[in-house]
Amino acid sequence: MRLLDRFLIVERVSARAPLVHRLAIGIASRIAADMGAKVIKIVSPAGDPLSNTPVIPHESPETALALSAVIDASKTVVKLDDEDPHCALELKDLLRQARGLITDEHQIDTPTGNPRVDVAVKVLPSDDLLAKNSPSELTVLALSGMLDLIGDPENSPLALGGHQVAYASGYTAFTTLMGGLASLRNRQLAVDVLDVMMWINWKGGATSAFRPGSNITREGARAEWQVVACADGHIALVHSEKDWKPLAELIGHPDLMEPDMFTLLGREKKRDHYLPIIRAWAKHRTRDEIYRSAQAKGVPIGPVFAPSELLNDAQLKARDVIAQFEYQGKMINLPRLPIRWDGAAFNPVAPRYVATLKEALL
Amino acid sequence: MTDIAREAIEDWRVLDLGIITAGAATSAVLADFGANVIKIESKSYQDPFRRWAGKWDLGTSLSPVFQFTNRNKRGLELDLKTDEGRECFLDLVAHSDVIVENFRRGVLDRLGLSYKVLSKANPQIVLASMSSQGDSGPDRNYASYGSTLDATGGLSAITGYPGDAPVVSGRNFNYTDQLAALMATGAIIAGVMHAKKTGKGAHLDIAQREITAFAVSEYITAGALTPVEATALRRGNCDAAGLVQGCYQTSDAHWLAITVPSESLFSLCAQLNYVTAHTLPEPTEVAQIEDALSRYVGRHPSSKIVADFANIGVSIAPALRGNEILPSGMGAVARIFPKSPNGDYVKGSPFQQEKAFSVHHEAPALGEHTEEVLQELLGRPTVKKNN
Repeated sequence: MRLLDRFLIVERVSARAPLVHRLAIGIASRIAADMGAKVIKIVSPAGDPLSNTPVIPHESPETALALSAVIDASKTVVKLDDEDPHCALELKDLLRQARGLITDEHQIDTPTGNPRVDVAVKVLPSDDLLAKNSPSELTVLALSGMLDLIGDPENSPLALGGHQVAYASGYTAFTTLMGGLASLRNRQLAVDVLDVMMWINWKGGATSAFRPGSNITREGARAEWQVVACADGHIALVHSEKDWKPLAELIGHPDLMEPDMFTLLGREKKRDHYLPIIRAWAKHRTRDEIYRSAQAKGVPIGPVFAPSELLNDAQLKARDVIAQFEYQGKMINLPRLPIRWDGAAFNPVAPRYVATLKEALL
Repeated sequence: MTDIAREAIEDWRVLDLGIITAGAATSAVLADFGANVIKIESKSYQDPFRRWAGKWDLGTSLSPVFQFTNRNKRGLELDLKTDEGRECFLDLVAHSDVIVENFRRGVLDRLGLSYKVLSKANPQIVLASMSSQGDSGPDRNYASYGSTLDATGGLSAITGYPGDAPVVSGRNFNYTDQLAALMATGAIIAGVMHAKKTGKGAHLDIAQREITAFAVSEYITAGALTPVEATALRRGNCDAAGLVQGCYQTSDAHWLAITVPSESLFSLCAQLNYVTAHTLPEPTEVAQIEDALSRYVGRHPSSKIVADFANIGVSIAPALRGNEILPSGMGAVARIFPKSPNGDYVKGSPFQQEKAFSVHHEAPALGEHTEEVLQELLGRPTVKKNN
């Protein structure tokens, strides 16, 4: 499916952009590229910092290949020195042809010809603390209140794993680009990474807005939903009010059927009593046994899968979720876009590296 | 049938069958672009967010969580389980551009409203189906909430304290439900643009588990290249942005998030009076510097640490609690928590357009705009055709 093949999109990030902006911009244009847009990513002659960024900090540098393959897939990447007057002219001409620009700084040129949508992923000046010091994903999560929602109250606040600020902001920047393109005129739009994470953590603000003095914070082992160890790993214990009866029946312990166990407040009061019952039940069962038996009763419990386990997951295989291409001599496995279009999947391809803009436009 | 007059997004009509977060928030983001969103419920099928248990249940059918997710929509009461309701819905489809739904798989078919039926009513209609596992595969009927998807999508396995168990985002947060809306909206817009160009609509099958998996793409790719022990996947607050990074508690019991990029390490060491002999510290030395940083932060109040570190190239921020967000005075607060005309806080827009976001409709009561919408779209004020 090449839905966006009529759109030329330029990805351009300034040399001083922090990693979070660099990744978010890359993710947004990757989605557009997988959908068929011609995406040209401009990198400085010194190279792209992402190509040296490992996936797992302090671990094998080989994993840096994974990050650049994922971010650059389906794009054409070209090195360009925009300090050089000739290159600057070339870039200006490219931007004149482009229908979209995803960047960390708005351009000062006024597009002529086709309307162009500029999406800047950045921290707006009103976010003083982050605007002054280059933001990191951790500090964005801190100000959004999200750090205080995950983990154990006895331990430090905890970040979601991976690059969630970058992905969430990248998804938003893609949506913003599409909304701009659909409005059929020149647009200058912005995605502030702190706005995005605060938007995601809206319940944090909503709680104190409507119940002054009230708060939601990290609950650790006191949480209604939490991870429970089982025979071969962990499961996520997740349920709504209506799921409690089938869950209690599945576990088969009479204490779980006590009337006060059927309300949120009742369970909160008896957490120390009923969680050991569930943990003891889970301990001798595998993830698959628990998953299948719970889902057969409509209870939304799920197994904790390591990312690499998803490569062989039956559901994801049936939907052909994992695509492959060869990149720098290695076979790369990566998830496709999570959308089927009239049943068809989008197909990411290996990044194309070229020496000149002329080649990039071919 | 979709007409040329509704070319720009500001004129698109969206029939919103979405509930709770994933579906309803997607339609809300479409409304942020100016689309005309009509939320469809019935007395027997209401958005459960209207009465959400816990801290947000204020005893009314307009709970804060419902108000946050459904501002700038109009409300239409229509029972899709009746023949009249179904026929009326198909009449509305003929005058609309998008349908958003996040029913369990098979519900729309059982209502007699499969994509085939909908596209017969309007060949340009875009049906966005948001579900846990997608429309196909052996687990297609499996249920989930956001935290189920954290687990099955690979996110929980990489979230947690070093050497400790995986962690889910939890009931108060449900991260992946929010994430789904941010991507799905863009795909829907691409779908409508394509429909306007080709005259052919589409069924978008959007799997929330796959949205989560996409958000850990590089871990899936890396795992295929170099197997990593499951416990080694969880690195607490570490990521590639800083050689030294973490949360540190101050003498006045606040937590500060601090990221020290490699180029600022020497400035940090100078601030801490930590002497290093290397240009770039070895991994063992990083641990020593983190230890020195932790001790330094623990000796001083939050305000002093923020001031001390303001000009040494580190990123620093307090880990705000939920009730500290609104009083913080940050620019983001004004954008993400604006007030509706009646003075209540609502959810703003996740992106900034040339004109600031505003609330022109508060979240609707059940069926609040039924007559208005039916008259406007169908030229009659009631569901029944013969009235």
